Amino acid sequence: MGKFEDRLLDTLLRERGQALTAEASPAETPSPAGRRHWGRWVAAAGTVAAVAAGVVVVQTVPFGDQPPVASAAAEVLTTAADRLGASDPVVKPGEYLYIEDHRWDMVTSDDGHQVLTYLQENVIQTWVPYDRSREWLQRSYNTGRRQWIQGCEADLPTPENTDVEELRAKCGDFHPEGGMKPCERKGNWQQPTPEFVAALPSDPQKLYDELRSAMADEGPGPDAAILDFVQDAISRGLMPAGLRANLYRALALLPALKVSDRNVNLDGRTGVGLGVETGDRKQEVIIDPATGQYIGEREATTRGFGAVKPGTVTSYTALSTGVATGLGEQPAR
Amino acid sequence: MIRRKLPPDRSASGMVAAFEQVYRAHVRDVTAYFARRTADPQTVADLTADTFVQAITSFATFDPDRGGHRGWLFGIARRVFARHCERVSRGRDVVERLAGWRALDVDEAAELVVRIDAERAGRELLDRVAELARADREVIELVDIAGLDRVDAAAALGISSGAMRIRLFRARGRLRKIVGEHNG
Repeated sequence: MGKFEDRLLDTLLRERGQALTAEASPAETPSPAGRRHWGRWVAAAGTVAAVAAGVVVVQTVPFGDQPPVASAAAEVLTTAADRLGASDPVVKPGEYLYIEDHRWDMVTSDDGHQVLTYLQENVIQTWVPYDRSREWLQRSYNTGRRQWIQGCEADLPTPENTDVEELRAKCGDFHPEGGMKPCERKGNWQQPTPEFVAALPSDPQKLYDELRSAMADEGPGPDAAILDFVQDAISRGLMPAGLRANLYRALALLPALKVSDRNVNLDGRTGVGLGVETGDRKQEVIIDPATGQYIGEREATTRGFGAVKPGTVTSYTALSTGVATGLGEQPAR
Repeated sequence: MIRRKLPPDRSASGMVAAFEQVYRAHVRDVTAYFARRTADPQTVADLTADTFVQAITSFATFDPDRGGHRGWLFGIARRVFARHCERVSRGRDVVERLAGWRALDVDEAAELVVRIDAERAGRELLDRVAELARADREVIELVDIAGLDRVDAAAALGISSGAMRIRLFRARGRLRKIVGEHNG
């Protein structure tokens, strides 16, 4: 450290060192982390009506006081793996796989005087051609819909941009690495190529071992990181059913994964929540037990802070897929 | 009952040692964060001091399960800078001075000038990405310039890791597009 840092440390310890041993009440000295305000889980089926009526239906996720059943998670995943594939949309030559992702993410802004907290909806639509080397289309936009936790619309300094961002690229390479042309990219978990998929182990245990060693140094816990990574892989709806099934079977080997909620409702579709708790968070992947399909994910704070109760959801997504007959066209519902 | 994981040694000397360790590990990076925003050594020093005043005040209640110290400190630094900007725009005093904190002496100022100079590349990069929305710039800076991992950066910005994932993906994409347009 330099002279400036040494003197600052001395001054801090001399002038404020007593704060280190006197555990102040949260009301007097809110920790910066405690000033974060997390979004609330709004039952998705009731979201539109509830928001339109100005009523926020708050729901929390169960945790802690319910004994988790580890083997149940493996059972759900194994059954889902067996069922997966039968309900995959069948894309014919000339058609497009359509993926629609609705995300509700918590946004907090703090200008020093006022904290605004809300969940904000973003939609990402992707059209994937039957021949994946052809042009893909991705549209994303902020819907402008918010679920207010703290503050109200009038408090927003400027309206947020709700323009539709449109990207087109062969092979889905919307953001090619520097100097690389579309279709030259090597595959990865988030953007799998047929070559990448073919090179992955077909044995679930080996797949799990590979994930485990890759995630050993990640974040607050490797279990949460593995779940995060698998979600990345399956949430875009691009992996073939066989690999998704194997990823489910690999997830079944994750010791920390528990059935956390048997009745999760995401945009009207219900599924089973399989979650990992790490620190103050719980991450869940939501699977439709009838079809085995991944339908979304959600994340919650398990401790809460300030006025935010434990179990409050901080973000959730709902994914749906279909078949479109043309680029940019909506599939028949 | 919510369990809280506390630092193992809660004695006065243990807490001082723990804070000192965190301070020594991160103070240069926090200083660099401000050095990318202002070329005035005294302001860099004051904003760094203000960040650590808040850090030492709440260190005893910091919960390591909530994430790393790095993300926590950058979260504080971010808010300190936001308040600084607001005060400057209203013509008020820069920061609330720590008691006993005096202006930099010549050696300290010279030392910080070197640091500020060392952050020139980072400052220029931030200037280049000025076209990005503020949220995108913050993500790019914390992850790609300050070197925070995704979990710490999410903690610093007060967003969930899922939101961080999508924001980073999109911010990098927009950045590549801008760079591509400038080069093309």
